[in-house]
Amino acid sequence: MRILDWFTSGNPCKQFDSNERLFEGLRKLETAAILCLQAKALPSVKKAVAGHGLPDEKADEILNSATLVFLQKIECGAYQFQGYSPLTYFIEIAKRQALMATRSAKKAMQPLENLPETADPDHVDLLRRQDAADTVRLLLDQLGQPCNDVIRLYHIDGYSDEEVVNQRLTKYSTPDSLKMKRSDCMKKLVQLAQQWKTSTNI
Amino acid sequence: MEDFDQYLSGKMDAEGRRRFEQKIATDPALQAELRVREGLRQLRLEAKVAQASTARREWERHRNWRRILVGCAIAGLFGLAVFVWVKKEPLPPTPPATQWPNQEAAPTSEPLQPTDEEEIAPVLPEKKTTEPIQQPIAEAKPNLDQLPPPADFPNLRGEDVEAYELKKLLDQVWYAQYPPAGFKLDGAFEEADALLMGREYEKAYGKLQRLERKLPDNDTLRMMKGFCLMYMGEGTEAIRYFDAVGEQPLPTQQLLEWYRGQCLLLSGKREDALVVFRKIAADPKHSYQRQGKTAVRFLE
Repeated sequence: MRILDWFTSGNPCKQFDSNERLFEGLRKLETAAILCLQAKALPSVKKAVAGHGLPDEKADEILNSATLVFLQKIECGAYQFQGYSPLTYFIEIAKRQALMATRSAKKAMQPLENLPETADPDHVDLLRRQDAADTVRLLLDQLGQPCNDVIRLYHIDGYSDEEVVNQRLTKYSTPDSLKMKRSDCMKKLVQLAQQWKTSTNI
Repeated sequence: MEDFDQYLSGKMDAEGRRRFEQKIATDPALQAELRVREGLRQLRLEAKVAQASTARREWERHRNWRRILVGCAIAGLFGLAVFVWVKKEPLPPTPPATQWPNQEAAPTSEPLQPTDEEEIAPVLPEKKTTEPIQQPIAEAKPNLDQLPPPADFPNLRGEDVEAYELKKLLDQVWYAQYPPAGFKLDGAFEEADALLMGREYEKAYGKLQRLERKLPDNDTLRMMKGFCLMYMGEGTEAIRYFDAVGEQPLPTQQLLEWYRGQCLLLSGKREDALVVFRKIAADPKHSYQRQGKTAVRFLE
């Protein structure tokens, strides 16, 4: 049976038979939908990477950063479904990410004054959010337990309070107590972020 | 908190968004909270993308293996198809099997009498040693079905009329079978036996010659060497070996007697051969009586 599964698992998009269904999956951050999008876009991304003279290993990185940009655009409402294939839009993002990666590589080798300004709003936004994510990761480590788990389970891993309680993922036995604890932890995290901002002057 | 969610998810209208951004710009605590919430959202997205990326790499690995397997299967099927196709191709026509002289079944009736034409105007033979020779083969006592195909005509000296007549006579009289009925061999003679079965008399003779050094006093060896010599046209030498064979059962004795007659004829001793054939023809219990009668008829 496993062999049969192995052979029939060839199409990662079999459950996304329409563009709308794929968009809905992406909006809900379904892993299968992201996999489908990436699998479909992979050949075009590899081609774009090769076209920009980047090494093949960069394709994976470009694909992931384009996915982050695209998901962010869906989440903040910048991209809304209008009947077109999300794939077309996604490939355009990936191409721009490949271009940005090329320019970054050139910047590393050439004096900055020789290059024109190459600001891509999506790329700049991505860098800003990645910076914010790095900061939060750092602060969560400083926050310690149980706040680290309480915040991570809800905000990063996407568990609901009921799931956390039912699966006994923390020591809190009711959703209300968990919610109260998380609220406290978030306040602490924001205070830490404020202190961190002051100390680093960012 | 709801304001942050609405702001970050793009659900806030333009006016609300403008006012919220103004508020953030003047409040460091809100700025810090916005940064935390943005960071958490980004971490969530990164986790999801990492999860999907792992699944994609697994899918790629499976896809590559599937491609290899499908490729191998297609190559295998193609190879099989080519193999079947090649096998089905008709083979070039094989040349007809070599028609050994005297390979036809022995006639069971009396041999044909020489025609007047043959007697009056014998035609000189062509210079061919592989000319098929029709031999009359006599009685059914030696099982005719088991007869090996007779060999080419034995060597003859000269190509004159006398030699031709002798050859013709031998054609009409000749009868030999290998292996003789009831002939039993041990391991030492297997190779020579196989060569004799394959009608390679000279090679068989060579083998037997070598074997004779080990087995100088062996009747089976003498019989086989005599048989080889008879087929090689060396009648006198063959008789020497046949005569040296010791006491044998009656069928073997009768066979040797018939061979002696043939060997005498081979060596040109026509009268001596006729004496032997007459004796055979006169004995109703002789296994080769019929061959003997035929021989007498042709010789007289």
